[in-house]
Amino acid sequence: MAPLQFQPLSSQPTPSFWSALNSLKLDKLKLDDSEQPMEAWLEESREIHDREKGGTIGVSGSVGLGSGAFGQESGERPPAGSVELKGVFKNYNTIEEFKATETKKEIFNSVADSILASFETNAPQLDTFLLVTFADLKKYIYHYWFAFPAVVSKPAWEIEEGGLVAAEDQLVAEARKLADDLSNRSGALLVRGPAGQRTAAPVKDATAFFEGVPSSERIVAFHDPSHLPDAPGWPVRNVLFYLASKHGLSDVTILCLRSGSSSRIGRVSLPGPLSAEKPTFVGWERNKIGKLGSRVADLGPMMDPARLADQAV
Amino acid sequence: MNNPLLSIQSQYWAVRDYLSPEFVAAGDFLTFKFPVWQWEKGDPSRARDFLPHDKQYLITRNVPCLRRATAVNYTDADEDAEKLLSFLDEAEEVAGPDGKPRGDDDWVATHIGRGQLPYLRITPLPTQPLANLNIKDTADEQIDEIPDMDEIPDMDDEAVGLEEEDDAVRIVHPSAAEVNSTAGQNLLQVRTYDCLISYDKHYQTPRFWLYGYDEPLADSAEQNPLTPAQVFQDVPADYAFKTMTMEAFPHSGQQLASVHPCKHASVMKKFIDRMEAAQPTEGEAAPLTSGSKKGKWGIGGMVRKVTGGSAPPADKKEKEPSGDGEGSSGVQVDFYLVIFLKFIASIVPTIEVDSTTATAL
Repeated sequence: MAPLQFQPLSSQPTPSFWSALNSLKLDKLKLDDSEQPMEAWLEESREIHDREKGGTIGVSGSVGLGSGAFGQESGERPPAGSVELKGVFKNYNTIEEFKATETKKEIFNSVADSILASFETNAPQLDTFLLVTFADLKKYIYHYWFAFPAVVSKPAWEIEEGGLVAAEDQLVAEARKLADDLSNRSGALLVRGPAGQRTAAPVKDATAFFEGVPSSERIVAFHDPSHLPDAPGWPVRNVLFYLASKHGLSDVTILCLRSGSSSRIGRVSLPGPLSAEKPTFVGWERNKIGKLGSRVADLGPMMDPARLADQAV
Repeated sequence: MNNPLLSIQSQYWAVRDYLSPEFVAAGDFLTFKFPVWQWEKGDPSRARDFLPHDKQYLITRNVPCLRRATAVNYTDADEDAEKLLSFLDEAEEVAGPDGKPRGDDDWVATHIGRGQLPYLRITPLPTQPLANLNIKDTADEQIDEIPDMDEIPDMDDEAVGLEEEDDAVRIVHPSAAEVNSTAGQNLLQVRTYDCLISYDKHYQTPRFWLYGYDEPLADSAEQNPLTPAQVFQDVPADYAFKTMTMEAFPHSGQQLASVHPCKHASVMKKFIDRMEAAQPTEGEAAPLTSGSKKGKWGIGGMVRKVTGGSAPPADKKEKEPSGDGEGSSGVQVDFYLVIFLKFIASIVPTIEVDSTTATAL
């Protein structure tokens, strides 16, 4: 048994998202820095064919935000087949507030608490994210930091010997069909039953759905943004914790649905009962050099009228 | 044949213009066939009233770009043309009795087949305007960046006390060093583009736009969107700043890289002429078989290639919604954008615009 590791999510806001943020800040929020609801999408990882060198290259799915992130009617539609994420957005009015650790800690903890609280209800928030920003509107520079809060499970999940293996095409096809039939855009679903007659249910119904199902046949399928052959993506982390804490499931099979033929499957389990202490959360996004830190988007070359005028010569 | 659009297709091929209803028809086909593409509404205040309000432009996201254009030689226009011919040969081969799917995207790969040449030999000399622009760009950036330095928070301080280490090694996150070490063999992270197709009223052709994202782990720059200069690294020097320029995207007003559409109509006409010229060959070979057989020669073969040949050829054929109406002119309105993408792929060969192999969910 080896400890199960997860590939963290990465964010990819589109330029129209920054435009939407601009107009939200200027026209609606103004100096209001209260928290706002927002939406994003998450895609499965993809395999692409390298025409020059042969072979395939895995590309992780990322968390995308478009002009519809703040609920605008005219916003961009999320890509087909993507998972919907709900998030909390907070814009700070000064760079000092944005920099301060305490403010960020506070909002992260409040999001984490609401996730934990939701686990006790019938609508667990499994895919919640947080975005804090500081927008330098004059220069079209945006400082931002995403967080994808995930519960640290104690003890840690372990994966059976052999790790994740390639999933059978038939199972994948069936799980995809079931996911479509459930027609919610959430990331995960439960699957049980013999091949060809499998049935599915939302994650919140786990206790009833897996009643009497041997633990080897309990499948948790999810749209996986990870392309790593040996690690599932971040979103399943909260799902597993939720199943263990609320539904007492400590031994399930995870089915990582990935585009193309790269879906993976593996059986994971908890070595002991969950610790009774209040769990901690992690999940601030790392920046491009792999450190915990905020990112900067400089849209000046694309949005600054002065620079555009220069280029138009 | 019952599609009224089809009755006028020969006219529009003749005038080389591509009318907006046909853009919608072709876009519908593209999105139906390759769901990685989808329609967007865009900014309603900028909506073009000759297009349906919810079908203003087409978009596909996160298109990977594996290497910079300067790493590959793409400048020989004559060879491009020969490659186009050879795709027709292939299309015929595909229709052959074995029906064996060819390697992915063979015929699109207008320049890809060539080996990489030593860097120094292939770096094209920048033209005068290009060099000027580059200099100006960097100068501007420096002026802007210097005052910003103070404002940027110290990244090391930023995270102190924010998050405890995840107890075990639970985060699998490639460090910069790891990425550098594997970059040569198996890229973990690639530069990606959002590709957009709008309809250009003036030239009456589709128009192609690009928005780039940097490699998530680029070592130096901390900027997520690619700067114009970076985008042009992915465009062969023949096109950068000439047919390919930064312009305001009509549906959002952002500056995106775009292929100027003034030559689109004539290039597309050439593509289509060649395909039509190839049609009789197959028609003579099997004069009595109907649409399905004909469909096989060109478009069918193409579509099969584009979809990666994952399904058996016969099935593909059945599912094609446009198997009928194959009569007078070999190429249908619906396929226009599929062909258009092949054309675009020859302009931005390192960006996998044609990676329509992604399976629908």
